[in-house]
Amino acid sequence: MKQYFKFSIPTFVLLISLVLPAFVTAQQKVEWAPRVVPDHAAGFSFHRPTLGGIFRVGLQKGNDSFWLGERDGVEEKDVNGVLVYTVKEPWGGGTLFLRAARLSTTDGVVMQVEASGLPDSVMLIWSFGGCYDRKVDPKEALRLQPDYCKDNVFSVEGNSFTAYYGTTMDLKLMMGVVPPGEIRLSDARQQTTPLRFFQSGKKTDAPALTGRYLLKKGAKSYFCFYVQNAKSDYNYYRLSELFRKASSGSLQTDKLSKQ
Amino acid sequence: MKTTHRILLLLFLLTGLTAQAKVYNVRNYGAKGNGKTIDTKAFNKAIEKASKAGGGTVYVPAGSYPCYSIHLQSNITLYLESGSKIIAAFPSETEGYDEAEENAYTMYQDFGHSHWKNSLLWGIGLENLTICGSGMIFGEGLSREESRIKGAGNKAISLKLCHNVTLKDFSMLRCGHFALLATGVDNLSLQNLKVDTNRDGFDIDCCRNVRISNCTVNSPWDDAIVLKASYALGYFRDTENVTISDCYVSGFDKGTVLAGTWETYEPQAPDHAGNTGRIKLGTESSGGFKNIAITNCIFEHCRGLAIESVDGGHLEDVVISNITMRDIVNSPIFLRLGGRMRSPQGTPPGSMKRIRISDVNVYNADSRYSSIISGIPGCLIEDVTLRNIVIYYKGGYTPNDVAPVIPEMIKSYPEPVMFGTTPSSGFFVRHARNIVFDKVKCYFEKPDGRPLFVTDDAQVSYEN
Repeated sequence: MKQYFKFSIPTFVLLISLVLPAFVTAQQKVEWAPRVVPDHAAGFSFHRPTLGGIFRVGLQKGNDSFWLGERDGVEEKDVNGVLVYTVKEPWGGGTLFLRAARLSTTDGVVMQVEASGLPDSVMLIWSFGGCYDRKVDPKEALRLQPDYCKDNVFSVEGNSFTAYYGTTMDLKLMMGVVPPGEIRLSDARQQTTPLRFFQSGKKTDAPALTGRYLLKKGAKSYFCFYVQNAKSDYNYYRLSELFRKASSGSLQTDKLSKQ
Repeated sequence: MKTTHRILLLLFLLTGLTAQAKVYNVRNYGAKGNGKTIDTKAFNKAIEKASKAGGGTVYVPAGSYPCYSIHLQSNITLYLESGSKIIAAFPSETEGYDEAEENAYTMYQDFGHSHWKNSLLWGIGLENLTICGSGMIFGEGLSREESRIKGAGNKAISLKLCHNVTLKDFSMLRCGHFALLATGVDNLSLQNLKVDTNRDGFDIDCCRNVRISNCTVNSPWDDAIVLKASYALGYFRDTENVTISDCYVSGFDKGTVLAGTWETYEPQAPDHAGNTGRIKLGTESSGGFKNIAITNCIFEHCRGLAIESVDGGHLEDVVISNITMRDIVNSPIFLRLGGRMRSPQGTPPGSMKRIRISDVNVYNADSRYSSIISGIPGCLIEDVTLRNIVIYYKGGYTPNDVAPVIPEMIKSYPEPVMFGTTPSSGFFVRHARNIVFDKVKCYFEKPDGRPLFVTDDAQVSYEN
């Protein structure tokens, strides 16, 4: 039996949102259950139901960088409940596999990244921000708007972070665990390219987080974004197992990597 | 000199040398200090050796020493040489900090206050302990958050039920939930510490006879120097006989005070009430606060002075003088007797009385919350004198900004924000008696249409 058959109705809606984005988009006007909404380019927005953040992925080689989805070459498919993005990078013809599975104990997503045949020095740049604490149409949350970012506070500890948002009397948190690498506060008003965003600095009224790390051939790295609870509290070294369990029975990742 | 005299002199010198306290260099016990190797075992071995010998100095030469939990012992001086840095390592899959010990009373205070062993340096039931020297404790791998993951550490120095403790001269950077948690520690002296951290600086909880002097604490994301009286020990214990003098507290961007860059690009604390970095009594206040003197202190770019008792503690005999503050993001002066009652069931409400605040200068204080003295119905703040107080507020509010009814918020976590915009521009006094304002002046950068003083269920006298 697959894990998601055990979920309550709101959680099932969240699961459906991962597996069948079109269904969620169609339903969102009438159902504001907590959920994770993919953006078709390995990015996600988190609706709890108010907007709890937007995650984006880009690639960089030298001074060239782009957000996934901006150039051709992102293929998305559902493999038994796990979203698999296959990205052809433009510099050397390599392939990047991003596989995302939802978490069973909380609202969240765990994602595995695996590079195949990439040239040296390709870096993955990621961003997270826009914890707005207002309901936002998922279609509007495909891109991080600076207005969503005001007063977001990011507590970064190594390659984990806690995003604080909302108000003093109604404070909310989102947690993130990302691959080891550089991580910094950045200016959400400067997102034209991932590299520009990453280099934008923290002097802004629209703070967001960016990070980057070198993609190594064959190495797997992991991202996890989630709402913390007694059963959901993660360190980076636990993400491999977390992903394995979250995608249990759904993926033959080695097989996919060789496609 | 005759030969016999020479021999006698040599014997005298040798005797003198051997009489000196023995020094235990952590390098001699295997510490690498290379910034990569985990040196916990070497530190603990050196401390253990010194302790078994009856005490001594554990010497940390220049170098970077990643460590997990270091077990402090009685009669030890841990000397951090200039250029030395004890670094809190990030927990790995196989290694981490000591597990948080069981505590049957965790429900009465936050996780961080309730455990001591999940720390970089910890000691329980010790006496005659000193940590000193010009080195640094860098809590890089400590968490300020609420993670319960096994192996996580969240305090740089944690002491429980110790006495005769001195911490002096070193720096502390990014230290997790607490740079120092001292619970039930008596005869504690903190001198010339330079702290720049990502949550609380010093939490002095249920301690007696404490000297805090000549310290710098930058803590934009929580309180800088805070006296508490939690129930973490499983019984009521007052924090009493404390002096805080000649200290600087602030809320500049994390790490920028020790770095000397003094940045102000991050205006919010995680709780979204502005940068913190203040001196406070409370919030944990199951026990009381007695005989507290705070003098010659500077606040900058942070919240104002907060004196709170909300869990049943009796707060009395507090003298605060010679304070100057600049760029204050909320109430410059906030006195709150509340009824949160995070204490064992049946604990009666607390009290707050005999407080003297004098010779305070405040410049550029945010006006939204003015200054507040607020008890709750039936529990009044009593006998407070404010003398020679000058506050320069930003102003800019009108009566239309104020809610028709100011909520009591009896059980709320005490922060000025809980009342919303105050009805006063200078002082809001409620549920209080025998409050004396003597030579208290307020100035406003922009006109403020609210009354200077608003009182409600309060007995106030004004002298000028």
